[in-house]
Amino acid sequence: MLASDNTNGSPVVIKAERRAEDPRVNIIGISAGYHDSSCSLLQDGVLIAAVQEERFSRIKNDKSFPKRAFRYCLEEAGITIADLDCIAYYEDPCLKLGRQLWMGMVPGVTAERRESILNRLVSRQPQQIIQKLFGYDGPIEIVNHHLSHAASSYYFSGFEEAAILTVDGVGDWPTTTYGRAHGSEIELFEQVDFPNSLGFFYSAITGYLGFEVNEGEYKVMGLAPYGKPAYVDQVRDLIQVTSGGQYRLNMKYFGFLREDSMYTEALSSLLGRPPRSPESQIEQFHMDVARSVQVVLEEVLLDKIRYLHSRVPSENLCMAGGVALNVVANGRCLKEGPFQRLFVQPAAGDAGGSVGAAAMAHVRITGERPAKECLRHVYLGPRNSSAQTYQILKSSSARFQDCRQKEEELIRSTVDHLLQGRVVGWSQGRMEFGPRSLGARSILADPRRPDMRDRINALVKKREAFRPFAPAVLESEAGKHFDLDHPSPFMLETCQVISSLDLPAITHVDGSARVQTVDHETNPRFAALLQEFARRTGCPILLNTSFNMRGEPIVCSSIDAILSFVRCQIDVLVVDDFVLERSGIPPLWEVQAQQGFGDKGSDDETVTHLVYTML
Amino acid sequence: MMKYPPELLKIFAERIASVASTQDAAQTLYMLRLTGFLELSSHHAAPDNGPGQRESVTPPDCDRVGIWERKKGTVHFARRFDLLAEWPFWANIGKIDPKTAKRRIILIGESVARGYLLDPQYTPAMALEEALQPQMRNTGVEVIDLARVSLGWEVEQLANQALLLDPDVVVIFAGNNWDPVFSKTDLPYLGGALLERGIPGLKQMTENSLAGSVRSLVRKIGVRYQARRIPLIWVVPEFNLGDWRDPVVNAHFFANDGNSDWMVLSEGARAALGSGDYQLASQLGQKMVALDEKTCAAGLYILAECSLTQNDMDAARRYLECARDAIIWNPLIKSPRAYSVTQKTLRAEAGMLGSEIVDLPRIFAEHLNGDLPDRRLFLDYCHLTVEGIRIAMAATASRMLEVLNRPAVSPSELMRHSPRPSHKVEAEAAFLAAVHNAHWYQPYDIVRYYCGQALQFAPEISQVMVRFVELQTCRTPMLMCRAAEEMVAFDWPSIQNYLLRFNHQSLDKDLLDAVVDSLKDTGIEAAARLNQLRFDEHSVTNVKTNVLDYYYCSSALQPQEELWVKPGVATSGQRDYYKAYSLESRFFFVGKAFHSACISITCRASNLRSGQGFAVLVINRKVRVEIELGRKWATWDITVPAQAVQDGLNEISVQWPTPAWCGKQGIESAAASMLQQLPPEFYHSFGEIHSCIVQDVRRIDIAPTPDEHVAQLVTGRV
Repeated sequence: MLASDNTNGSPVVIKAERRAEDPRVNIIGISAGYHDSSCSLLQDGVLIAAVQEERFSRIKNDKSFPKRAFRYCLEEAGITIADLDCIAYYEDPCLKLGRQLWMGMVPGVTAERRESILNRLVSRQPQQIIQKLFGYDGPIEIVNHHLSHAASSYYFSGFEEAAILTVDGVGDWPTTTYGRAHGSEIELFEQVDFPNSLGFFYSAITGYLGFEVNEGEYKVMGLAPYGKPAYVDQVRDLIQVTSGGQYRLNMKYFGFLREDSMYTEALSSLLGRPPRSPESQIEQFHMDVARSVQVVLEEVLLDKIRYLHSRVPSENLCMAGGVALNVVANGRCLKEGPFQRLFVQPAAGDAGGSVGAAAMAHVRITGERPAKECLRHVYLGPRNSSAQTYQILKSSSARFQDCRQKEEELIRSTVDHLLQGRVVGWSQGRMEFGPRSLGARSILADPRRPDMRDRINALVKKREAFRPFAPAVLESEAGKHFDLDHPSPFMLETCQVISSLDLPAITHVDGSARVQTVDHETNPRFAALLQEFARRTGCPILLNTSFNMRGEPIVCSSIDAILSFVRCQIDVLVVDDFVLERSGIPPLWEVQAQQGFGDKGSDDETVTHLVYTML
Repeated sequence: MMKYPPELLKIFAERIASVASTQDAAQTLYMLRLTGFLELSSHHAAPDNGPGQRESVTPPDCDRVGIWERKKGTVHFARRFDLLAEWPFWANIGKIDPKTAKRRIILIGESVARGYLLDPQYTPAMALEEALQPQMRNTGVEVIDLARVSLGWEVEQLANQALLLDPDVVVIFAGNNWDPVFSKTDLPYLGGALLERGIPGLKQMTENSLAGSVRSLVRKIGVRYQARRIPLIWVVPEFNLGDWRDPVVNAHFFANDGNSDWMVLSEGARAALGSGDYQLASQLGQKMVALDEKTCAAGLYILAECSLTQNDMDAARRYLECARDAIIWNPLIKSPRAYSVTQKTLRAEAGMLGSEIVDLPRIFAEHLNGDLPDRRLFLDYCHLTVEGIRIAMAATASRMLEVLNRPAVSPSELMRHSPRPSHKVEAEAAFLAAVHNAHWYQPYDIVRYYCGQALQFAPEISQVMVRFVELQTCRTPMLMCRAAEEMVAFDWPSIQNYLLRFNHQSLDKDLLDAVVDSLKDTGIEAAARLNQLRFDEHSVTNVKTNVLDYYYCSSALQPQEELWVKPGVATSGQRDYYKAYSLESRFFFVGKAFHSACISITCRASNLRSGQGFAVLVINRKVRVEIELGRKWATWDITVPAQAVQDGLNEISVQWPTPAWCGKQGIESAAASMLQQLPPEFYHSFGEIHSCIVQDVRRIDIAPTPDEHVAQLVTGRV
């Protein structure tokens, strides 16, 4: 007995075990400083965890160094900072600084812009921040921005070899790269450099149409089917497609080199109308412009993909970069282009850069390719715990249905609510990595109801009425309802709706849908829900949209889910094993839900809707 | 802008040369920017309007006073709805009507003048009006309350705006939030002062700057009021010298390698004080002060204690005033306060412009017959009790009657007409003071005192205290707890206003102990409930605990040890791990008796003398374990035997090795950080912890709990 050993009152001496070095290769990838900072962890080449910092900080598109995401990744893997072999950073700060300095040398640049560049010149480098913030003193691998994008796609595609196309706004110098990959090797053999940028081409129109640059591009894509390509000739004047992989922007229409605006007055003159003010009415003209820019983007991409295939005659294409999130263009590229198979990194934007950087560092350290298999899912974020959620609920006066150990009841009850036309918040298991909700942090509804899209857009998400919603469908049933012959687990492709069912809430104006296929292996509870819904309705499809309100990051924890549920007009929340209805919400929860909501943190780089945070 | 000796720039220039020679171009450029060599735009060199003079935009068609505005065509001032978030910081007044025949007094000030912890039920403005009312029955009098919580240098702007309300007299009761403000262009001078004279040089410069700012402020306001012939009364704030103790920390970096001596002296002095050897304690305290040149409070507190034992109040006051001022140079960790330099400058300048002075340090001393101002008059460092407010406002009213050419009435006479609020109000304030003091690192006995006071004023406040225990202990966000709902249902407005709005849930070991102990005195047993709650919500038997989470880390020994993880504290780009600033760190976890626990700690000591050393962990004073420290992170697993784990809170004490004292290097590093506008480190680090996880040993070996199993099923790993 310890007590008897301790007769003289002095503490008993025990031994500590120094934990042996983790034999696995542990690599952290980081993307930060731009938008959507994130952290990911590769363990022996296996992607263990990946998450954006915004999910913890609750600041939309948080660009700060991902300190909470970093801690989460370590915790998820059960390792400590002492076990890290390397931290990989997703772009070369030196290259980026070169580009920024160049921007300061452009004639006519404002003093404010130059001052901002000078500030960056003298601010701390990411390597220093990593060392200071995390106390990390091990090796830091710097991976070029587009190489990170390329790696984030190819190494998780499952392809043995592939052609690679990365397209975004800007990182360091390149804005588009062409590459080939085989085994563990990636070679980027051609690039288009800033200021010529397909991403900026699309973003300029996004800003012109009154949407937030770097955020509203997918709104333009969603608006496009409502319009006619009436302005393609004018829009083609913005970009000149040249030989090989190259293209040039007609800089007279773009203001981003000199001003804090993506476009110039010349664009308004070209299109014959002034820019749309944010939140103002959307007219047919705006829809036509959206359609036109989408058409031109697709034309350029198709042209460049054909070029890429001429250089890399593979059947496989890997894509990443923000432009690769344009699922409509992806679908057309696959259908009309020369490649047989396409893999797009689900977190194709800069958040995914952390995964690519880590993968590239893995190759550099081990000489081996990190992942052999295709990425099967992106449930890589923090997990909910039923016990903790129960703890929260039981210490409140909320009324809730307790379905612990009663999954069938939970599923049945959820379907009951859906059938009554209710909108359901669904927060289960590990959170998705990337911009899409894929059945872990989702808002769900019956897709057959004609009013559902308008209702969710207006009351729940508080966003523009034209925005479409995506369907989640049981993988085994997908072919019966959508023109799709392969799984689409990441909602990264559009296809035509061919269902005999009437699905107004998820069918876009052009008859298309952005489909997510769900299987029992990767998300059993979501699949069970779809199955039960199908059993009772004959419809194996649910409307699935991200669980967040406008301006808010997707919910992460159970508490985030509850507070978001309280704030918006979702009817029912199914969080872990518990079902809450609005009538069961205590009044004081409303106050808690409003506290801190909308705080954006301090940031001296105020971004207006017109500005791409290119610096 | 204040003038600096140009010699100070020599060091700065040397630094530029030094950095340039190491090819550290970024830093060179940065410092060149500070000199203005690389000025690019005109807006960068903003005119020096003095601190806090950022004018907020006022629409052209309205007048604005604080959160109130008078729109064109209207006569009254109404609260601006777009400033809704600001409203709680001001008096809850919907509109301010035009002046009538009544004499109009305006009270401007900060939280002390707001009546912090008593507001809105009792405020200095109410006390002032009640004191004046009987004396001005013929004309009538109204006091417009323009005090705002956290008002700083914006007082000048507010004083100017207040003229729009046609006051007869204006009272400004401020000074606690006047901290030195430096601009970018001051940084080379500060860096120079730090490198040349260490922290004492920095302190001197800070005091000079503050004096200049106060002088400028008082003059600007005074001139404007003089021109308008509006009488102005300044109330000089006092500090809770008797009871308030800043957390004792190790000395900052000494340039002369004195840190080792200082720490030995400090340990000796505390031991001597503990054993009642006041002479030795005093000698050692003097030596500490000689080393730190009154830039650390520790030695001064020891000297004050020694003086108090000899009943030498004057000496004690001097030492305690110096202790209050000792921290002026540190921008990070201090409660608001009126420094000596603030008080002196205010007294000197206000009189020169014909303004009146109500000198609270003198008035309180007279009231207490020379005793130190303490808990009788203060709720914390600077906020006043009802008694403190009554004395201060009676003195102000007395002076005001003179200003208004009324017959003189003594403050004591005026106090007789100044009613006290209900006991319930004082009870609320006392309990809120207990919470506030605990969250500002005050010791158990002072926290216990305020808890006891609360119960003494109104025993029924126990219902709030019981719920508070629950509120603080739940993992559920505060307003989602059932306890919060119950508290809202009670009739305790100040509790709702302060506790449910600005509180952070934390372990609050001393505070909850004090609450439970005080409740026990009144026959209410809350300890068992607290233990059960802690077990349900935090036991390592149920969930593994990271003792570095704010909830647990908040019971650290020193404020700077929890700052990195404190909610709402801006630490952008700063470290995200724990640093120890003294020989001992203390953490807690909630355990279950006879359940073995595993502690996994990842730590290092980057400042070791020989590159290696040992830290000792003592758990509940029952077991002791030694771990080897190096400059690199290493993880250690410690299995705490079941017999050493107890129900409820378990303490982990980490005893660090003495670091390599590197004061000169530390000062250079601090100066470099200042130049880069990064929060400088002024203290030696003894050790660092990146993570410290405690879990029940059985949780490590056993299969996943049902919910974990479900979670794994729902989403397996890639």
